[in-house]
Amino acid sequence: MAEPARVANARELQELEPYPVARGLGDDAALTDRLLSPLWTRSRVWWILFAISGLLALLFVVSATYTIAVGIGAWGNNIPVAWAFAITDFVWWIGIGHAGTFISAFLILLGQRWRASVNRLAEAMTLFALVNAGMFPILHLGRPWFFYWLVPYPATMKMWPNFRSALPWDVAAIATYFTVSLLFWYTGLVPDLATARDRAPGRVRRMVYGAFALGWRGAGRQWRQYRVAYLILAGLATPLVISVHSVVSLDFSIAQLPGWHSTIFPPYFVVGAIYSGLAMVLMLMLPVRRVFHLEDVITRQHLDKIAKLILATGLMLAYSYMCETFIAWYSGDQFERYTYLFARPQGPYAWIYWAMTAANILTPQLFWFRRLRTNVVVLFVASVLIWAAMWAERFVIIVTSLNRDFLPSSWHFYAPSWVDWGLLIGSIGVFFVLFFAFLRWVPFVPVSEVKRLRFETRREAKLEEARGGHAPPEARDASHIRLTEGEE
Amino acid sequence: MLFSRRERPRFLAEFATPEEMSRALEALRAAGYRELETYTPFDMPRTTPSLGLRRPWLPWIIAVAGLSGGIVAYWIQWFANAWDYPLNVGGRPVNPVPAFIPATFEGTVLAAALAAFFGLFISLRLPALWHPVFDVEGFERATVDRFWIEVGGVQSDLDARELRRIANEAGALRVVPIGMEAA
Amino acid sequence: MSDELRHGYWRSLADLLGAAGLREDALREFPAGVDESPGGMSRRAFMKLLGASAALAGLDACTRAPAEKILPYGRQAPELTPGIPLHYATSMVVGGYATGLLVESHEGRPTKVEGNPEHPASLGAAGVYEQASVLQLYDPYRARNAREGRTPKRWDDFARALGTMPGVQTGASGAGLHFILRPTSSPLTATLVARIRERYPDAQIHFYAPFDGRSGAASSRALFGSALLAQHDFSRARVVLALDSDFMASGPFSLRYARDFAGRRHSGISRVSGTAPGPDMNRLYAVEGMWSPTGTLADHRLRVRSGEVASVAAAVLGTVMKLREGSAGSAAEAVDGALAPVAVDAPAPRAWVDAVARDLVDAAGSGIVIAGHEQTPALHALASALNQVLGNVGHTVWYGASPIIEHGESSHDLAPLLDAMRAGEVQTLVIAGGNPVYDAPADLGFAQAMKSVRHTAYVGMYENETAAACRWFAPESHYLESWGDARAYDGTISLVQPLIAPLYDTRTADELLAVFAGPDGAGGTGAHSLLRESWRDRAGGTFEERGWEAIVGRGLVPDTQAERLSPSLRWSALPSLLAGSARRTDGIEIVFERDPRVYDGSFANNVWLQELPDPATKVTWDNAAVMSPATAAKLGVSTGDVVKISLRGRGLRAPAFELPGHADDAITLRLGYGRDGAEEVARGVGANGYLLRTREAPHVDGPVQVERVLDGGSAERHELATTQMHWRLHGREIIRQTTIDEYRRDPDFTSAQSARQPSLYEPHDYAKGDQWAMTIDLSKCTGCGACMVACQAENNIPVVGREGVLNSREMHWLRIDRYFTGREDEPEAVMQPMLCQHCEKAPCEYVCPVNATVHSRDGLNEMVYNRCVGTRFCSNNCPYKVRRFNWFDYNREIAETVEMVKNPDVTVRERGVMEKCSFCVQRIRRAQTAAELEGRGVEDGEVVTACQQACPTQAIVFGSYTDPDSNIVRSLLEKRSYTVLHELGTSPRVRYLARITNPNPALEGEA
Repeated sequence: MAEPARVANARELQELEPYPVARGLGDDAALTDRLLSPLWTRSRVWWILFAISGLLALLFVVSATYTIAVGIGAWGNNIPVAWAFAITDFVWWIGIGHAGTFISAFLILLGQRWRASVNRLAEAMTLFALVNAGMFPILHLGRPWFFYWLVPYPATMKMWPNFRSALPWDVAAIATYFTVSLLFWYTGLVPDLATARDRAPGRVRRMVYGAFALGWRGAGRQWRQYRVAYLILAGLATPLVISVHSVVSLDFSIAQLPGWHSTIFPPYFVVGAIYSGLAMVLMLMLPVRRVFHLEDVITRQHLDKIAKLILATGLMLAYSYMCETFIAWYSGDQFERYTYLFARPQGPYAWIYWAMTAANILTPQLFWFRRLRTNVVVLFVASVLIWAAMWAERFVIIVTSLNRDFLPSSWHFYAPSWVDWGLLIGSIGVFFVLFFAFLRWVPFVPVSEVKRLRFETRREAKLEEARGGHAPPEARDASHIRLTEGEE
Repeated sequence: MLFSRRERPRFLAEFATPEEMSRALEALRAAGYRELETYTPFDMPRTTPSLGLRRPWLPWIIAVAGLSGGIVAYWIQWFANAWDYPLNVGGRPVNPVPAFIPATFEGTVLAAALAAFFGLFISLRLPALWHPVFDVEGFERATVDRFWIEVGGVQSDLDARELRRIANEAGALRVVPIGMEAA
Repeated sequence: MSDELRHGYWRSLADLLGAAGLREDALREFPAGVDESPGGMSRRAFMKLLGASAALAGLDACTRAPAEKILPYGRQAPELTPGIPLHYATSMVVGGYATGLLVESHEGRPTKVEGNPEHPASLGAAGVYEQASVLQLYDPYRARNAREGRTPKRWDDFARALGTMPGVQTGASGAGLHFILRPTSSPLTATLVARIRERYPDAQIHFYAPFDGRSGAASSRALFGSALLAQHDFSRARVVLALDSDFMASGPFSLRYARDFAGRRHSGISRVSGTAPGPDMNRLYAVEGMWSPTGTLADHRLRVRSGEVASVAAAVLGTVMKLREGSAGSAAEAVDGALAPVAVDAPAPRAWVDAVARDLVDAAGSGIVIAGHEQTPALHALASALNQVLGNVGHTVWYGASPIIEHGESSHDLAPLLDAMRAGEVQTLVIAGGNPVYDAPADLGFAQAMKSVRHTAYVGMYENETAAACRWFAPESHYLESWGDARAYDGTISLVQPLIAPLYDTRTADELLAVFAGPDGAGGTGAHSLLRESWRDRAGGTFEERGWEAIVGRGLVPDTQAERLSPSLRWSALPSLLAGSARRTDGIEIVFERDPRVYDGSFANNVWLQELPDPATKVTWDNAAVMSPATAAKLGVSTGDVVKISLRGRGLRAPAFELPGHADDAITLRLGYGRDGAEEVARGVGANGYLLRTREAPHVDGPVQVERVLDGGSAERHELATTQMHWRLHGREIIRQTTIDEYRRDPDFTSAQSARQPSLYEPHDYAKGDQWAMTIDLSKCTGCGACMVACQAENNIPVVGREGVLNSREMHWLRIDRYFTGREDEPEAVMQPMLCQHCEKAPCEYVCPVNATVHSRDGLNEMVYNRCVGTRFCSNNCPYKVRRFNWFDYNREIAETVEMVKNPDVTVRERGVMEKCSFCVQRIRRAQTAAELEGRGVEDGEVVTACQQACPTQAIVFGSYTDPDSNIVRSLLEKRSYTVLHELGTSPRVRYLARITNPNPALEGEA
């Protein structure tokens, strides 16, 4: 009775290329060359895209320079709305950053080996998002040239930062997060750089990649230490991810401003961060997958799994929305109630609020259906939608709370200036400049990990056959086999 | 004839598949060879035991580093706000433990991560852009699709011949000595 | 540098400034970054250069004391200690009346104006105009040199040229020679005028100012036979009826009146608080169309069109007469006859009139009925009649001879002059000050007539509209550069002594007159010698130095006020006065009001005043056609829509503004805007109401046609830069108020908002040393704005311009929030000064990452500018939103002259740092240092904040609460004190005293 169901299930699974990944790519050599080819082949399309992003990045440079030259007055900010676009952009980017580390570190610990094909890309995204995120708080200062005053150093005047404020926490969190992400990313890269070194056409390339490969030779001893260190880094990165956006959320919740002063912020922000980050991973992955014909490396099963993650985080986010509104109402506090029940849903920014809420809550509901989870077009549109809506969410949290606080006499509207827009759009340019450079010069699919994944899954399949003829299709998805297996 | 300790040769055996390599590795170990090393394009945790390594000490370094990182982080905050220049800031206490936790945590992670990264490469004696094995022609495929075993501690021609036999039985493509021109 | 050199320099500079265009851009008073697109940056740099060069010439002169001996105010050490400012007594003349001032001078550089405690018109307070006047001294747009046509000249050339003009040449009788002076009370000017008349018998001297309070004089001429002004003692008044009168915030004696009224009001309240025994609380009825500061304090405010106030007054008078049957005697029938035309269906509810009349009668002898300064003679007559009948005269009201020369006589009427001009009988027209071309009644066509005069000369502080219309122009000295004298409203002679040598080649109006009056006994024509001569005469020859020094040092001559008269009222004159005064406008009436910020336009170039929000509308950098929401709805316009107002063929465009509580079917238009002279700041700001104002109806006119202006299909709009967009309280307990009876019944009604909030933290010890605190009494605050300007002057607060205000970037450390409460069609207004609350648990402090805002031992919330990096987190976390951010470098591109107004004791803030009220910490520290040197503690009242000092009603009390018998402790202990947003547990050091009103029980539920 259960049999047919199982078979049907099996057939469905067959439709998604089951593991092992990278079937029909020939032997390891062929696979390696496939994955490294983007490093050696130059393409016109790439140059065009790179140039476009470059122009946008230039817009960022112009806006930033102008801001520093003239002052924050160049923006639309005012009193009461002293924080607006720049901080929104900051929170948005740093949120996006979270998905990378989440995918690579968190999933390792859970033994989700399918991450192998996508983690490099996700980690790179994290780094570049953090580069942006790091710039905004400094630009945002009234006197940016004194940003280092937030860092404790023995000054002659004995002036120290005030660690009761959340902003120095931010400095610590972001600095740590960037450093750790970078180390994690580079550590992961070393074996592939070695491969690139040994595969690179031409002396120069060989020397450059050789230098970065640090003389890696894939010795068993190296692999062992490497495995240990990499796991520990993953173990460190995971709580770090949680802490970073929690700290960012504290920037708001330590204030007593209605709409900011909320105890659910840390989990709420972390979930939102991963949600937006996963959306952007999809957004980047789908075109890359298409352009470089990696459908058999980044399989539809990857898309399926990421979509599921988006659905899960999306539901948690929806819950947070309901929760904070409920708490505001339940608190009975007139200021809280005004912010959540009037200022946001009915105030001057109501349309953003409603658009944002709808996009963030309804879009992921598509992913209840496998067909949609694996439909490239749907995925791309949805991810862009979420990506943008999560920016709007931060805007709503920041601006609608500030523009109407305690004393009605000080209420005032906020409208961005061209510089605000320039910085936002420009920062997207900066991101893509870095991202395209990454695609061009760095092995963006972890070669050795893919090879290993292929080797292990094949062997496991064999074992299954040996053990008892017809293997349950699930077995082909070997993700339940611990990566750390074989450790003494 | 016995080799003098100085000129004991080391041999590299090349294999086309990981299976053959691990079979050879087991056999060599069984035959009493101890100075074994593998070179593989990807991590093969299952082969590690055959290399007979001691427990890694790296985790302990990292633990210690992380701990001290946390302590330093908290100390800086306490020193700055409570000891060196205490100020009345909004009537808040000068040593508010909860407020100092976030930065302390970040300090812990940062120190630990740095220890992990540098500990790794220091323990591997990297960067080292040159290594004798790199001189073996065809070795560059060790990072692509070839699997190698390095055997050291070969004391006599007898040993040498023995290991060639084991390797070849396991399906080695070739066995070459390192350091000196192939004999 | 030597005069020669200076003039040499001036000539070249004058050429530079002479070229049109350049003059406009020569200097800017506030940075261009504020009001201009980035494109302007290079241009700003260019202007900075010009500004520098232009100002340099004056610069050295500024730090130099005047040549003549000027005398420091007595209470200061006479010798100057660098860093320790000196205070000099002087007087500022507004509308012809003097207000005594003390001016703070840093090394010979006047920086701050304060009231002269000894002067009857000030009692230590200083109003908006006085406070801001110091900036006018340094205004870079002040005219710097004389000219004939476009050719730069020197004052001496000008004086010589005057001598050659027709009617002036030696031997001439003065035929064809006409003068226009500002109405003045100056004894010196009076003597000069007399001497001119004697030398040129045929010369005509006219007096003109758009606001001259002529009606009062006119009515008193009719009723009493001579120009008398009603004087009031509000400290003794139990019931006050203000008839369209803003006696507390505008008008010559308003500072004094406000003080007296508030004093009485407070002692009435504090009796309940048990802190001090006091008389009964006074009760104020206000009848007005537009919100005036006085109206906001009223216990009953009747919303009536200004044109109908007289009818209300008449109704009240009628009822009072009935109530006082018999006692009125001869008056009765005269009045009955007189009132018939006026009292036509009074717009006031019967009950209201009866109640007021009853109240006035009960308070007979201790009541005051006061009529608006600019209202009609009829209303003044009714007020006089009421006071007469009620027997207030002689007690709370008396009369004194008007100090204004020839007040209300024909010489105060421009019409004859205009006839003469049109008839071509005027060869030479000399205008001393004022700005008639701009503000003369529209129906006289003054500007047009000017063209027919061949020889025109104008002396004024600015190259304004009148200057442009005159062939000869010479710059006038600012009063802080001048010697002179004037009388206060009550007649007290007040001295004007300079604090600084003229910055430019300027003279005073008296010196101009002296050119015609010829040399005095001593042969000098300098204001100083003129003044001394006039005093020698007055002192009857035996004039010795010490007496002179005494009066100059004090700034006034004691016992010179006008004799208190209680003349009998000629009832027979009443009917003629009232006849036809019941101008009941069908349709929409328009009311021309003096502006609470730029006066008649003469302060229009003062950025402090331009950026000071209008007390009622909170509009800055503009005036507007103010109307009630109902009227706006009727006209189909809303705030910001441009409307065209037409009156007898003359038209005017102005943006509409909806103001709850404004009378229906009426539009109030503040005058003094729409300037078109060389005053760069004022140029083009707002709409010029004078274009509609006629000689016959200077105050109320109508009916006007109002339609909205369309450009294309859509309504043309003009965004008004208001500092407060929202006026509803949303049920938040920010303002606490109750009636005196309720307060008696439940004195602890604010206790929920004054007890200490529980806290998890160890309470910080604030028991030792000075612990600064402030209270603000909402029962006293009229919202006049004097404190805001005082704060701006004391703390070097920059202005941000219209663009800045539009984006809510104004920098005022102290703002005045205006809320409307009660029914929306008949709202009450409450003013709430809002400044840094110096919270002991300051939310701003713990979020600052760099410890840039921390708490001092004596409880100040300190802002460390040097440390601030500008995260603005503090502002986000400030529930009162009183922190201000330097969005641009507001101080880099200001002219050097303007730099001289900066208070050296206060840091000038850099771009990118946060700033806010410091409780005038510089004053605190100075007092503490002084006390320390004398080995004692700071005494109560030794530290006075700028706002407290300026406040006419003394609504602000400041001091250390560790001194048990200090005013601040008494004030803090008042039962009605509370803290705003108390539930947040910020425990502020600023407490508000709930507003207590004293409504008439007979008017329960009425407006």
